[in-house]
Amino acid sequence: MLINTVVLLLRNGLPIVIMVTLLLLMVQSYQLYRLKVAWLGTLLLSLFIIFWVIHYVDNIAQFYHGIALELLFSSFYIAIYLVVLLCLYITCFKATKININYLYMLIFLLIFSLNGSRFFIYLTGFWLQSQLQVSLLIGALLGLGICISIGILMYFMLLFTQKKYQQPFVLLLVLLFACGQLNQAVDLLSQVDFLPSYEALWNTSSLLSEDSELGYFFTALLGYEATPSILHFIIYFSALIIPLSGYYFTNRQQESLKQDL
Amino acid sequence: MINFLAKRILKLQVSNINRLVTYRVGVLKRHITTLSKISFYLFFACLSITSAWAARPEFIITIKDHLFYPARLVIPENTKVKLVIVNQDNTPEQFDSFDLNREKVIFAGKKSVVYVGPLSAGNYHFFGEYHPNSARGVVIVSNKNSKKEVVNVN
Repeated sequence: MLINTVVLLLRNGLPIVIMVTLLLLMVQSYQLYRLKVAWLGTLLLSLFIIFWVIHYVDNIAQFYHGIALELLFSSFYIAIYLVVLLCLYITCFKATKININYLYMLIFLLIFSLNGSRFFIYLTGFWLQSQLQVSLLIGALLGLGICISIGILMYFMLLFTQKKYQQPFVLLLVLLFACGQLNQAVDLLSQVDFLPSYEALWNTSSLLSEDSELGYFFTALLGYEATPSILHFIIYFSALIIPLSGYYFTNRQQESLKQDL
Repeated sequence: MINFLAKRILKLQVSNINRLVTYRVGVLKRHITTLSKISFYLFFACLSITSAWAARPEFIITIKDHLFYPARLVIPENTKVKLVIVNQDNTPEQFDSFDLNREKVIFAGKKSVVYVGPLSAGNYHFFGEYHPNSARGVVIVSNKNSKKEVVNVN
């Protein structure tokens, strides 16, 4: 039970911690302080969404032929990808008409609500059936400790990389994270027959199992899949290559326009 | 003369900025048109998928006293099937399978749907995450005609 809870927290807590770490590297500290009330509001709204989902989860799960929960969660994953893309566009092209801080808050809201809801849905399931509530609490604390430690390590490793490479590397990690979220949506939509399922292209479970600690980390950070189907492959690389090539070509066009001017 | 040149340069810059703005607006319009088309096709794709659901072979798995019935389920090869999982217990259970790459919480007294396949012949194990020692089962993908087996392997 203790190990199960630790694993559960690693699986759902790591995406939140990784995204918060990357956001902390992108957000200016004075802006974080200036908008502290808005951030607190975002946190409270996320907690409210988690509470709402947990409270009505068995009813939500029955809607639309019993697949509404998957549709809800996959729409969250897709929304995360789209908002991250918008953030990257604003950061790369200095499009300041939209306040990027509110987009960061939206990303946090989506990730925290989604993973928090998934975590508490599973945890309440365990809680209802287990006589070992103390083990659950200890497991949750241990998992939380591991997640926060990983986040702190990652933050300082990225902070101490060379200034020249730090921002592009962080932005690339954010894009890879968003692609990974899209992969999660593919899994959920395949499960409810909104997307076709295919045989796995390869199996790297023997090299790096998805159920290992490192597997959880890479699944959360990069969307690692030990047995990806052709659909995972196409969607992941399209989601990665289209924005990168869009950035490259738009940059080139802007350069040529500047030269013309 | 200088005044005239300054005005000319300013006019040139304004026209260049206008060109840039027109170009940006054009790009934006093209993107919006493409996105609208994609949304339109996606909408009809979703509709067609919804209508295709009815055609999937359907199998029922019941959870009772933290056991799966049937615990051995035979399904046809290379066919996507609909598994309707009915939880008759008064506690939730999570249908989980690493082989099938599926996980879903089935709430107390409720039923839920999971689609699996198309799969090649073989055995694909599943279990209940909340009772992994008792709630265990296997999906047997066979190239013969499928039938539901009500044999408990627990």
